[in-house]
Amino acid sequence: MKQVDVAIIGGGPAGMTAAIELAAGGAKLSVIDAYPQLGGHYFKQSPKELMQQEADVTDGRQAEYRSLVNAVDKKNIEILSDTAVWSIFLNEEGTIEGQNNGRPDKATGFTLHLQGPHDVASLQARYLLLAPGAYDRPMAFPGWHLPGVITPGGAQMLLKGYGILPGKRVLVAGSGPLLLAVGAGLAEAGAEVVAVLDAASMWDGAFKIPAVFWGQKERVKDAWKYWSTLKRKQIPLLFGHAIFRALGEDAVTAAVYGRVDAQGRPIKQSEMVVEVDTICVALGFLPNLALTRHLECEHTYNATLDTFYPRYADTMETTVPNVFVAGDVTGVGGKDMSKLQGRAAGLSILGKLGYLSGEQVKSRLQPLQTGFQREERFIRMLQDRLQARPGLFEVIDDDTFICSCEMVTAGRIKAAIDDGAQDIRGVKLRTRCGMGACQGRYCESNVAHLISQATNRPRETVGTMSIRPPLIPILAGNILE
Amino acid sequence: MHTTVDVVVVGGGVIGTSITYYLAKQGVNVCLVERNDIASGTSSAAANGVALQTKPPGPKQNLAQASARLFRNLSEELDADIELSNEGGMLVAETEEQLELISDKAQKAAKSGLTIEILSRKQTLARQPCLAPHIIGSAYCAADSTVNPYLLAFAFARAAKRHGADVQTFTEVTAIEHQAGQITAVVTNRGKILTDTVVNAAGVWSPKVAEMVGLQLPVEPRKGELFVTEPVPPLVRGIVISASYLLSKALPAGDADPRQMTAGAYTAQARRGNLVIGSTRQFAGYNRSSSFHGIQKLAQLTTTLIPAVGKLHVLRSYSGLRPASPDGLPILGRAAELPGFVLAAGHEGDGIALSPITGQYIADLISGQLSEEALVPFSPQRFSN
Amino acid sequence: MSDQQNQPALPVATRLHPRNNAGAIQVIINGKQVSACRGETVAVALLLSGRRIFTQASRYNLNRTLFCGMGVCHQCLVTVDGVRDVRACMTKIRPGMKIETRFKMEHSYETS
Repeated sequence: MKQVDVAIIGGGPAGMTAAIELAAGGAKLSVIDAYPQLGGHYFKQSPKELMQQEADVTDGRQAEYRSLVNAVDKKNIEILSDTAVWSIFLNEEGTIEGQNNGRPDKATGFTLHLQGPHDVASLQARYLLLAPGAYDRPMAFPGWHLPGVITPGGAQMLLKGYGILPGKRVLVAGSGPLLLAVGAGLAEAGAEVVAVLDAASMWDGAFKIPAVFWGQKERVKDAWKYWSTLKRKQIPLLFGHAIFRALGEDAVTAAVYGRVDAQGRPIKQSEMVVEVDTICVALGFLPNLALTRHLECEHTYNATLDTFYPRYADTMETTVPNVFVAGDVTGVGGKDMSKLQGRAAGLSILGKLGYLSGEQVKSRLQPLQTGFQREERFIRMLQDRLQARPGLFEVIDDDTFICSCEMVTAGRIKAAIDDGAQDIRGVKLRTRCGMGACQGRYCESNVAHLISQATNRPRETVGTMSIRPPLIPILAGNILE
Repeated sequence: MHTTVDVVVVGGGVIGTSITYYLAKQGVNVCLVERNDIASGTSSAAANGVALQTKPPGPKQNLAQASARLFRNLSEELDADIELSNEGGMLVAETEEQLELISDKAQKAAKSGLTIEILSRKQTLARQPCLAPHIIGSAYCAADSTVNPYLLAFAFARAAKRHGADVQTFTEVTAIEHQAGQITAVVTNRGKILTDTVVNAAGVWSPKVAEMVGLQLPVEPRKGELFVTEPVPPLVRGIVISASYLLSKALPAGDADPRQMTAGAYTAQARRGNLVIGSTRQFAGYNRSSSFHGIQKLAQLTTTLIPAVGKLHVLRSYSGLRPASPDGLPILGRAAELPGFVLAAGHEGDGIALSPITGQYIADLISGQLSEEALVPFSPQRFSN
Repeated sequence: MSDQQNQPALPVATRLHPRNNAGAIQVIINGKQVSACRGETVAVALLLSGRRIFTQASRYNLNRTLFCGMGVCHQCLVTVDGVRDVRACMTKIRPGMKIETRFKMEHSYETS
């Protein structure tokens, strides 16, 4: 079986930066990425075959991506693209052989099982760096199961990855900075964007944190660009607004939206109906916790964002020895935070491998501190804008689907709670909610809220969906010896 | 303030909920105490088969047959959909040796009134077209069925409540008070319940409950790994079990290397369409994690027997801890040292199949309608020397 | 295959740039040859062929289609070369690939 020092899972900004750092330090590594091209959702790239022409180097984001990719190419880093990790197990044999610069190595190895177009079906690694990123946090409302409702991430994937306009008349709604980008992107590409709705108020977070925009030239520039596009196309950007319902038989034909209060509670009198064929909606992001949960890392609950995150030390090591994290899986940090964490994790692992001394690691981590502080200021502002607004759940009625895999409605979940279910597992057994192919990734946050509300207990006490291998469905025929 | 009941049942799995139901049905004032939720342990990590022919002929098979009779009208009786399906079960032979083994078992079963038909290769494939062509025959038992194990536990619990039982979930037993050979109370984290009879139906945790009254119970967790595939249109009728499964199941607890994982192919399709595929057997303490080797072994065994499974996605693996007794038979009856302490434990992988009859017998034992002698093969006293 | 009848008469996804004919390949969607582009996913090929709905969930026959677009939500499952429940958004097309969307017919097995 193939053996490496480090397996990096996720080829976005965090994974790429860590890979460059680790390769420069002499580590042998593989990067496993689920998509055809490196870059993650931030740099969202087209598959090679579809690239129109040479990348536009005047675009700052493209230039940054090219420099990362060039560095990865130069170091001859093995990239396993289009590849999913379906399970990771601690090696039963204990340790795996490593050079480790002559230093005896006590690291327990991991065996990763992969599914992809490459010959590598499994891989042994002494250290893991998990950088699986985040995905759109679904918002449940009547009609959200209708075709035509997509996530902003899904819209970006079609638009930037494949050059496809997903719809003609689009409503963009939810919360978070991606909405502006998606609204502007769709409009530039020729869609009629009827409005962009943000549940946050215009000033949420903006002036509470001193110097929040200090050093955020790129972010300010991007936001200005998106905002100007909306302005030029006369697209209303409505703060303190949310979607209430999607209408349609076979697919979306209209959306009902209106104003919400600071808690997200819908203000009925403000209801408006607008004809659309596509609704692009999400409430920020959920970290992709499949890997950290599978490896039984400890997680902590962030009540502001209503999200769990893996616990990690300054070295980016989780509570499971030799398992490191970086990027959006640790929080809504964005690209710059991801790169900083990727570097920090890379340096720490180099230290563990014996390629850097403890002193060297320390002195190289030190200069990253200014960046970390700058990003943390900004993240506090983002958290304010993305904060959980329990009132948004009030639009859910008994017929609203919560689990899209097993088609479980809120009404059935409430009945399960009446029957004695007090946590996610109890609801799952009584309703099949979360038993489908996505293993609860898309219903957990909503079902947890329903339980916590109905039983009057804090979210963090109602449990989580259990993640068990395979992390993605895999053909039984592909597991054979 | 203390409540007083006739019986406290400890454990909310299929065994505990069944006992509570049959007690409540007889008008006994019963309280079920479960540390977690109903079916939160082994009952929700079990395979979905109610197989009779896999049980060794003798007391266990007789018990299973009596249980199957109760299953027949259970949906109506409990007024619940427990996804019961009476499609029969099939033990499939791939070698002459296996065919001999299943034929021999069929003859023995016939003596105790269980009909098992030996089917030729052609008859087997006609009944079960999904099987691989290399199979040479099978033993078909029409009395075998499938059920949803956790829905069964929920159904028992709800029916028990309708008959007046007090079902206390998320309530942990912390002590059992007793003096001079008599139980006086069960202490929980939510208060004290006065009673003179306690049923230990705590499955793999039953030794811990027995310890509370100073008794040793020889029940050990035996891990079984399974996986489910995506839902598909009808593919497998009833239960399909490889004859080699019997050999893996026959391995008694005290065998040469009990820590070694053994496995036999079990497949049955759940109502929703998912195939439930099992099962490994291994003594590994209370560890419940899935293993790559387990998943791989099950995939290997099953695709050999049912090739179409190779083209199905595995959705999720899981594993359950089966409460294993030293001789593979359940432990049913009163503790000699403390007659108010009734045991209903050690069903290993047969808990689902044996749950209705266990409930009925334990309820009858407590209410005096069944004598201790009737349960002699399962007596807790059999391990006293 | 009558799946077009099930498709709502609504605007569908459109290509932003003219297709690069050098990369053109043929796939078979519900028995019909469809032209698509190398590098595209099954989801993209389906959307561009005018399909908004990829499958009907086996419960309530609800229409399912692309939702997250990044392999997480498992709502865009289709049959590819005889293998069921393949994520359309994560599967690259290959020449001659047989893609089948699913409608009502086979789902009577699930009653609740």
